[in-house]
Amino acid sequence: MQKGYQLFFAILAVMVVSWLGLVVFPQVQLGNQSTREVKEIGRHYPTEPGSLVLNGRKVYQQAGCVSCHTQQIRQSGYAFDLVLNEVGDFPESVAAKLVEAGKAAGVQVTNEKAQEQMANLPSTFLEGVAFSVAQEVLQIFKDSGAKVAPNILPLGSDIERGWGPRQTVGLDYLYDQPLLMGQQRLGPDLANVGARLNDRQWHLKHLYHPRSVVAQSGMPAYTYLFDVQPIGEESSPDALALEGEYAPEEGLEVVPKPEALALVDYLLSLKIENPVFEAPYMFTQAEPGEANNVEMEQAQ
Amino acid sequence: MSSKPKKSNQSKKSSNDREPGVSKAPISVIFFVVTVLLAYWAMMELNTRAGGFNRYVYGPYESYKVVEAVQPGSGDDPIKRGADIYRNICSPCHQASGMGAPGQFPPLAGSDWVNVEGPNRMLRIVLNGLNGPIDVNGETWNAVMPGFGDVIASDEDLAAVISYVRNSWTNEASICTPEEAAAARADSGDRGRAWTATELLALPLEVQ
Repeated sequence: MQKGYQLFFAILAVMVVSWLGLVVFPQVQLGNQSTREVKEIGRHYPTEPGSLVLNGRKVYQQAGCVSCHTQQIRQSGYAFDLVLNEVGDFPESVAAKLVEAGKAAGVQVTNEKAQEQMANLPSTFLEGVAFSVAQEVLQIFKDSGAKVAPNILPLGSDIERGWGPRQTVGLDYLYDQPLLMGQQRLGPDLANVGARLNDRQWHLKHLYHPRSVVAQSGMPAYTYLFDVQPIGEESSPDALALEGEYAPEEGLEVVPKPEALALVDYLLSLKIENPVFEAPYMFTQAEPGEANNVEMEQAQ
Repeated sequence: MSSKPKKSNQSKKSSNDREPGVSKAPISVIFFVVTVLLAYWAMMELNTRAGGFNRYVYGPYESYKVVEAVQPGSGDDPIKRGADIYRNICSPCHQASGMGAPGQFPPLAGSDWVNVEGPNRMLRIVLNGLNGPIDVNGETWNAVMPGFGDVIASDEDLAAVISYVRNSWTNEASICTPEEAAAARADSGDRGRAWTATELLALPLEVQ
């Protein structure tokens, strides 16, 4: 072979450059992270998963959930809501500044409207404005005595679907080994499923027969995670409350195996419910209960 | 290369069987042009969209500066700004707690000179200083405070530090605006000497 060494070094150079770019550099950029204090929740994030959750994670891998479900929330943009929290000592100048701020954002704000906004505090006087506009408005209100807060809103189709409040970042996967981020979305994203669908019974029924809870679901039924057994003297406390065509025959009951319970533990542990520095959003302590029930009815 | 046909006569080889090698044929100029353009495009792409290769910069955020700027609660808050100025200029004497030092520096926290309607008298003290006895919360202090009108040259900074003192610890008083600070500064003009408590008490509470 003529000039084989040239060919050899050319191939080596291509391999080395790709390896540096695809393996070494990302490791330098993203590797070596550790949990850190998130001031909004007053504790370190993320926390190490418990053994039950890790068992469930194994079931998740074995059942192949990762081939149809992702665990990554994407974000395509961000905007700001501007909220007037306090008027301060100079209401007239603040009213004029509200009109001026409206002009900066391209919104018609009349003096009456400004008065109305100042009367109902806190009032969101501009919605979904760009970063540059938000900065301009903050500049307008600087040293006016009024308190104006910019609330950041992550934007994107995933966030519109209610799959999570913000995009996922490297830190969220700190304990995700091997990474179960997923590549295909034949089903919905699960990065925040523990917060979206926080109901153990719902998940068990859904695993046993997805169409018993979501009529148009295309997910296979994981019946092998459950025992169909005759009811003993009393029905088992774990038995699923199934109805209609999905209910077992008379005298039988459907009881989840430990694998199913572990898998549901894992699913309920999947939560994106605090901001991190890389992906900020306006964090408010969620009221437990109500929001989840609404979500449950709309779940696809 | 490995499947060499068993033919002894080399000249009969078809072009496919020829040993691969490096020819001296010139490479088209277009190849170089396209390569350079691709490299340029790639560098521009990395320059504008890679977020400086910072581990904290993701997705729609352009740079670390932007991520920092969009953090909730990082708006331009005069109180926060005032806290920085207070830490640098005022806290050596009046302490970070605002309690001052017994017998030397009167307290600002809960002071009856701070918790009043307007910031006029406070502004004068900070601008030109204070000399001689002064009653604070029923106690008489005899101390000298230099003026900081030159040190705190910006009216916004002056207003910020006054606002901070008037709204920190247990104090609850109005915000001082830069306009008020500017008016007090203009009124003091080239006074050039410290105030006494008697002179200050003759001044109105609000900036005129």
